[in-house]
Amino acid sequence: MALISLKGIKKTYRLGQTDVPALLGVDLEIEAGEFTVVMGPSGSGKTTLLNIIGLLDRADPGGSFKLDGEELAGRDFNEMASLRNRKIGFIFQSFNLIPVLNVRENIEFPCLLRKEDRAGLDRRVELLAEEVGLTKVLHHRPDELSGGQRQRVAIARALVTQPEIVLADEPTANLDSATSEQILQLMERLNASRGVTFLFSTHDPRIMKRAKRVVLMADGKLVDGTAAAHAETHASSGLDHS
Amino acid sequence: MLLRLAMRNVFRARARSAITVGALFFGVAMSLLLSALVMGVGESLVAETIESRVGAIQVHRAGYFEKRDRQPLVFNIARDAELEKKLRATPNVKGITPRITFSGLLTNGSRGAISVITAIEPESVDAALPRVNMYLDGTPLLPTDRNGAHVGLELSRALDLKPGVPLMLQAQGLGGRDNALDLEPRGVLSGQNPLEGKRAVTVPLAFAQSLLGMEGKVTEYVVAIKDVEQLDATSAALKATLGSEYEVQTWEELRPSLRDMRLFQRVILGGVSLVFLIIALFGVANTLLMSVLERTKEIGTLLAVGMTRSMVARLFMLEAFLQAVIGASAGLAVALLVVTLARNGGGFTVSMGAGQGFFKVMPTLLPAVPFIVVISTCLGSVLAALSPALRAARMRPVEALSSV
Ligand SMILES: Nc1ncnc2c1ncn2[C@@H]1O[C@H](COP(=O)(O)OP(=O)(O)OP(=O)(O)O)[C@@H](O)[C@H]1O
Ligand SMILES: [Mg+2]
Repeated sequence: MALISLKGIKKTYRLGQTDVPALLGVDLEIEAGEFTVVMGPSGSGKTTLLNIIGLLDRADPGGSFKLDGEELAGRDFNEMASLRNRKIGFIFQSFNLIPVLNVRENIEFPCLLRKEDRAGLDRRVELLAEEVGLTKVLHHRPDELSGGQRQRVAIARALVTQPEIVLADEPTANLDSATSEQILQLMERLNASRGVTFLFSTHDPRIMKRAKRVVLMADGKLVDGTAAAHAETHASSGLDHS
Repeated sequence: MLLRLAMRNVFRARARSAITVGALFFGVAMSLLLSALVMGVGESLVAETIESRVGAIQVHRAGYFEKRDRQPLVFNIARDAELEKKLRATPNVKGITPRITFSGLLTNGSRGAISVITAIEPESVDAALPRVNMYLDGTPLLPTDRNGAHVGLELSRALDLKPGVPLMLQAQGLGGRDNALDLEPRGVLSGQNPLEGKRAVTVPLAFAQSLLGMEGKVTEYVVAIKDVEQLDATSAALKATLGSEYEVQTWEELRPSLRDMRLFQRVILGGVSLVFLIIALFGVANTLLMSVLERTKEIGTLLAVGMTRSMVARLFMLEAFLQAVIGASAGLAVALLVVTLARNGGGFTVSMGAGQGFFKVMPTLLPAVPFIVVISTCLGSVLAALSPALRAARMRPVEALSSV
């Protein structure tokens, strides 16, 4: 059974009087442990798709969205919040750390939200910090960190709850290429060592090359769900259009 | 965890928090200081009334009040050790003193004026009216004094009073016959209101008794009490012990205007404090709204990692509450300090205008006042925070996250 299964997912934004269709019926399955990249030209619906999978937004009624075989369409706001907290990790383009909390507090924050015991949490946070290379800055505030370090904090925060899937909308867009490369390697390593399921969106062709699976989007639809080998040509032609 | 986050957020935007905390500080400090000052004026007036003239409670023969204008002396009380013992033994009674009040004509040989005379017993007067000589310019009446008099400031001016120049007091006695006796001025009573000063005369009880043919009789007992808050209870206890032959009145019943003034004072103070509070709370609501709008993206992040709407709302209300606690405690501390310093310094003296006397004001904070002000400031802040907090809680995660 697929970890995530989308069938006929549609999303229409309402802008004043006009309807803006963003997703026109997406079918997608993601298996546990996959390292998947969503690519496509600007405005193709990548962010919209990730927001729906991340339970930050609702799809139009009619489609089906299953996580672990559980139907999630039509949940209320608090259920969605709790599901986000337990099952989903987020990595944002602009890091989105809580400025008044230090690195350790930022990482453990989602666990404290669900009233997890302190016992064991400290150790878990320290192991994770070591794995992402933050041991030395655990007591620093986000504004004392570099962009790469901040994104590492965000990665650790996304992983601390041991989520089913980590969603990353253009995680390297605010980083220089050397730092992007390091962050990418880190995520690959976490995918390999911990079996964490990653779903990215990106414009960056280098990420696409390293993905185990590439999903291409155009105009609110999946163009092709095939393997990475084919993706390069599709992607570059897709990018040329835009 | 919410508390820690809220605390840090309060200290994050220092300038903004300082405005909110400052507004609350100012509101609380001003309310308390104003209250201390106004209450101080009120309490001094009350204390003066209770301790120098009216007394806390007065006991008369039943019927005195209804008939006093025509036959003030008929409803008298024969002095009786048994009765005085009963009065003294009533709980909360501090001391008693007998008096006769009557009216008469005070003349200096060429001019005369209708006066209101209070005859006091010098031996016991301090026990019930400790401040009877507070505004006296002269010598107190002594137990041995047979014919001394204290005369109100305005009256003494009208009669051109000079030491050593004798006065004569003429009045209708108990039997209805007029009588007159000589008096010697011993001092001038200032610090009263001018209307009273125009008529007030104080003489020894024995003098009045022989002038009026009332040996062994008085018109009233003045009763001082220990705990002034227990006024009504003590009055009720006295009524119960004395029975229907006597009537018992508290100063509030004897001086309703003073009681009403005190009540009015409190209402006005409450109103002014409320205005201060509302202004401060507008500040709280506004700065919090600014903070919510500025932190939209952060709210999106909190929602993304799984905060519920109610937690977001509670976070912002907690921030407002913390600011209120800080501002209100600082305001309370400063107000208490100022009041304590002023009291230790002996309060201050308020002049009633040239030659009109003066009275002393002790800034007074009733214990309930700081309590009410601080609690209502904190609760009010939480209420004022409600609308911005709900605004934060109702944000949709996607929109909040995509704001810059
Ligand atoms: N809040 C919104 N209101 C109205 N229209 C929206 C909104 N968000 C997105 N859209 C529209 O939906 C479509 C898909 O947008 P989306 O942001 O998902 O694309 P994207 O693939 O993430 O683009 P990019 O690569 O630029 O991030 C676009 O046409 C966009 O204009
Ligand atoms: Mg996007």
